[in-house]
Amino acid sequence: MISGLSAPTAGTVAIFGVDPLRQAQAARRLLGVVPQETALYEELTAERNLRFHAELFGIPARERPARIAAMLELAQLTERARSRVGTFSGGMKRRLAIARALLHRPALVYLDEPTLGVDVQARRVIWDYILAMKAEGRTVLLTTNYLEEGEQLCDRMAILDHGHLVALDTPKALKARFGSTVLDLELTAPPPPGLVAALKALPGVQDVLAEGDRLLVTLGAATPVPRILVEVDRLGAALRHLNLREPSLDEVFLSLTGRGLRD
Amino acid sequence: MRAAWAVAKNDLLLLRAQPVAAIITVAVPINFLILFVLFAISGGVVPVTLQAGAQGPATRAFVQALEGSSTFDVHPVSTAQQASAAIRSQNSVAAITVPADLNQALRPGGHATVDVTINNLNGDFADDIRRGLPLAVSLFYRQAAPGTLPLRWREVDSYPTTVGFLAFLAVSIQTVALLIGGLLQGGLGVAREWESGTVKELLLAPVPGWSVVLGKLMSAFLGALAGAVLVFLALLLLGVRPQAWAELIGVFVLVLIVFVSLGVGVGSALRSRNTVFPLAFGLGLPLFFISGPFAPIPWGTAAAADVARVFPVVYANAAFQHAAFGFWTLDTSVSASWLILAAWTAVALAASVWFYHRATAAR
Repeated sequence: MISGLSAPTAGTVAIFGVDPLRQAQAARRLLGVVPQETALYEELTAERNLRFHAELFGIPARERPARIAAMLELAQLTERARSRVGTFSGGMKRRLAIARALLHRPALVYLDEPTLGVDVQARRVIWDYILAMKAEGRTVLLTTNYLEEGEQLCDRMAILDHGHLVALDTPKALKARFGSTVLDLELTAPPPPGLVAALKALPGVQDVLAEGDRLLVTLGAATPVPRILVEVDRLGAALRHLNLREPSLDEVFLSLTGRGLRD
Repeated sequence: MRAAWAVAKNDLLLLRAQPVAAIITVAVPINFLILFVLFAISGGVVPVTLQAGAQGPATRAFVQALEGSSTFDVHPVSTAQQASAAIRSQNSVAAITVPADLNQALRPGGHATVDVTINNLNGDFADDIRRGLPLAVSLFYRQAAPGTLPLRWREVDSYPTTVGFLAFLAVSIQTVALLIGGLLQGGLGVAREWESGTVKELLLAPVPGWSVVLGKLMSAFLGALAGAVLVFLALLLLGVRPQAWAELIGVFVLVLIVFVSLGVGVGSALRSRNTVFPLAFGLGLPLFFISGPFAPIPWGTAAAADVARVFPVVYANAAFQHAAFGFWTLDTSVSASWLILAAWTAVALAASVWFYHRATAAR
């Protein structure tokens, strides 16, 4: 929808005020896209892929060599410029796709699951590119299933569930919705009957989730940790380990979308 | 135009990197050409053995008549055993035995019997013998005893030159090259973009859809043209010498635009190379075979001729034959046929843009 390839069933889309359906060519000049499947010509060289992109986007011929060289340098692919893309690893292809998306200097860069299927080192390199794009003042929009990635890279996160927007906020604010603190209790045995209800009844406790021998207690601003420990002891449970921490975005996501599988 | 040229250049580089379509574009028509040459060689005259009981003037006249019937490739043998052996080894379609008293057949009231043993393994070849021998007998009487044959025939050629069977067949090979080359190059060039996901690169570029189609048409045209020119060179080697070069180039270009455009349309609609391949061969080749490669279409069945008249292949075949030999084999006039080819070109171009637009429209 953002790139104008699908029409919205409701509402409108605008890229810096430009309608991607009615002003498709103007919108596409503003947009740099890194599709999930990279959409590179694997039979051609890395340089040829970039040259084709430059030709399609009307980059003047005299500027092309310098821009292509700069993008290959950015993607750390200068030495493989004349190699066929089909010989590249997944991480190299992803880096080349990002370089291609940046070649025409778009104002908005859209990355569709940019680190899907790449190794840890490549993921770190891609994250660095994205942070560099942010630092240059570009707007970066990325979709991801890795919430840690969103937390690291994004100023604002939107959570979509079954096509509906269920949350849109900063990572910090989203976590605050879940609670300011999570008390992660590991017991020596499954919690005795009544313990979960007793903990939920305590002031400042927002939610209690039992997972086997573990209890995840979400706390509000006031943190009555000693009272919780007393209650655990009173109801006959023995504590093996405890951890007081910030809620994770995974917990926020699950609390907003539920635990059912999404196919 | 800038984007169209960029797309065309990219596609030609892809064609060079993955030349399967280019190879097939040349290989299929060349294979057809080889097949037609074999067909012409094996179907032109049939090998027979001739065992003569005597070597008199009547026997010589009979042998001349056999050779003059344009049916037999005569191999003399001395014995019946040799003739039988030739049939058993499939080197002969018939054993013809000329009696020693053949001259009796030229005398009033006399008669003689020529024995013929037919190798009826293949009915078509056996029928060649059954048709050719009575003709040879007629020729024999016409030459050896003209007064004994009251019914004569007089030949008048409709055309100033006679075109050999192989040359007649071979010219239509050019149509196959353009048909297969155009459909494959056009269809595969577009379908590949969807299969590899690279269509997104085209869709996300700030260029109009028609310029992408134009680029695809240009690259497919050049790719198929290269193959078709190679096939044309093969035809020149076979001795085909076009009489009207301008007409030949004109029909070459128009027909190639038609099939390249149809290929781009098909590729956009199907988006799969595995479907483009069988469609190009499955529909293209039967259409070719009913469109007059072997003989003018009115000589075949009326239904096949009616189907053939709807499509451009029959007009392409006729125009190539006209350009090469100067004769016109259709009951549609030359100018009307050119108009039909031009109309097909316009329709095919419009179809290629429409199918691509439909395949890429926002939904």
